[in-house]
Amino acid sequence: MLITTSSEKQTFKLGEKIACQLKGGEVLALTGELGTGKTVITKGVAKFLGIKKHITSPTFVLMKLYKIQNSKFKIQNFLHIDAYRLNSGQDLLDIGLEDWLNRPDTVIVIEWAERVKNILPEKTIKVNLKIGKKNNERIIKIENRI
Amino acid sequence: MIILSIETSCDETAVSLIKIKSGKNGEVFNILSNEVFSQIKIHQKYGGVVPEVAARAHLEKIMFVLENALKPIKNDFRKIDLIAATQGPGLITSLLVGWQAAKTLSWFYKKPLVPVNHLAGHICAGWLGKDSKEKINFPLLAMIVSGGHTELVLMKNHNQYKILGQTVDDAAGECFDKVAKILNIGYPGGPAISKEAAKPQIPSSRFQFNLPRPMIKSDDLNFSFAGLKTAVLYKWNELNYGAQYKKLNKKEIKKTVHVSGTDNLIPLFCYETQQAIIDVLIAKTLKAAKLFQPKTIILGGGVAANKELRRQMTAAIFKNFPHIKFIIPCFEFCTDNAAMIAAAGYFKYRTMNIKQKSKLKNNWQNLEPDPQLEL
Repeated sequence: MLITTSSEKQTFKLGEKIACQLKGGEVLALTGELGTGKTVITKGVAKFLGIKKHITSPTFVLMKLYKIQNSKFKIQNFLHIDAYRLNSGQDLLDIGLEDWLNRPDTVIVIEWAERVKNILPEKTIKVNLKIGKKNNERIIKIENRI
Repeated sequence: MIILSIETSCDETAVSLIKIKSGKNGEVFNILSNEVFSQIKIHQKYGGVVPEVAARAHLEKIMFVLENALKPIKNDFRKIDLIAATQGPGLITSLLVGWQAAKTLSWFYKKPLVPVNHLAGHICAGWLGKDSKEKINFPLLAMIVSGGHTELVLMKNHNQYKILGQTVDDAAGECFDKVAKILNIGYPGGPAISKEAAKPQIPSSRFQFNLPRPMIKSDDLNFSFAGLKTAVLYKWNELNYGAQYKKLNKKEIKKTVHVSGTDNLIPLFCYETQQAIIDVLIAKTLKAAKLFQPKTIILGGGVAANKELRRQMTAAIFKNFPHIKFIIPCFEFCTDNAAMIAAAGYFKYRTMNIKQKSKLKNNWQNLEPDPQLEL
């Protein structure tokens, strides 16, 4: 599926739209160059999942876990990962990603997912972002692996 | 009192030995040793800290750094009263090495172990250069800027930290790193950008530079730097490749940069980016100072080593709040070090009651590092 957004706000909204179809256990694999809006999409997803905290960049700590305090909701954990500095998926397994993969109560967003391709599970939704013709325009490709 | 402190939250293996004397103007920290092994050179070729590489380097160096730091007391652990170590926030694989070392020493020599928050360390670095005549008064406002943090913190007393504002996306230091990456001038971005920014430049008026100052007028004390990086990216692409940019593929882009020789634009880009970041940091610090009327302001963290930031922040605070004492730790205490962890650990220890103090001996058994530890 190809979607064109024309502002940061629309890209954010797209994140919310993607989130409303999540059932839990998914990995959202975001790819795209610096400044294409990967974090903006992530923020949209988090907002829809009911996370009130600021989604700050996990570049420094690699992985940030947000607990979702809503007992009606099946998704209880939101894991935000930045693979920018990683060489392979093994690095993520080293810091304990395995504990969170394929858990129906967890949604994982991985930025720079092309760097950790080898560990992406079956239930991965691929999202690729590109700058469009105009500066604020983004061409976003969404692929469901299954 | 002598404190042994260990810090390995990111890419610096650091151990320090501090002797603390109390006086009528507060404590004086006598630094017996302050050993830091920086891994910057190791990570430079990757363009950032690689977690697994960092963890290995910490493991390789920790004993060596520890031995050097212990030289002033000739390895005599009986002289050490307290061990302080960084519990978080940071990179979990890095934190583990220092924390494990601290736990082992605490267990073996039966020394109390105080877990320290890395950010508290950056604030308490403000006490390290102080002499016996100087007094640091509360309330105190701290602006912490580093590769992973941008936080405004208010302290009403020792060990009482309240976050007033923080970044909603990227940290200031991260913005430096990312812009340096866009301009392809190396890692770490902060020093690379400040070096370029100091070079003579093409007059900016020719290019209509108007980088945003994100959230500078927002009602809160929060920061945002992700948009600034994107604005730099747009401008860089526009000047470098113009309208043709979209049609080029990656290989061609690399060629174009080389051929068009826009390298002489780099100092200008660096200057403009650095100034945008400095403007926001100063504006928010002044705003917080106006709201909370502190008696002292401390600027800390790795980005506080930036000379222009130090100069402009000093001037701005002196102009607007001449009565406020302004402290910037010297360079070695701005970047990650263990001495600051000893200082923060000491103040934490001092505010504990006897029961809490007695429990510190068992900390090695039940405390784990926390990569997302909050202040």
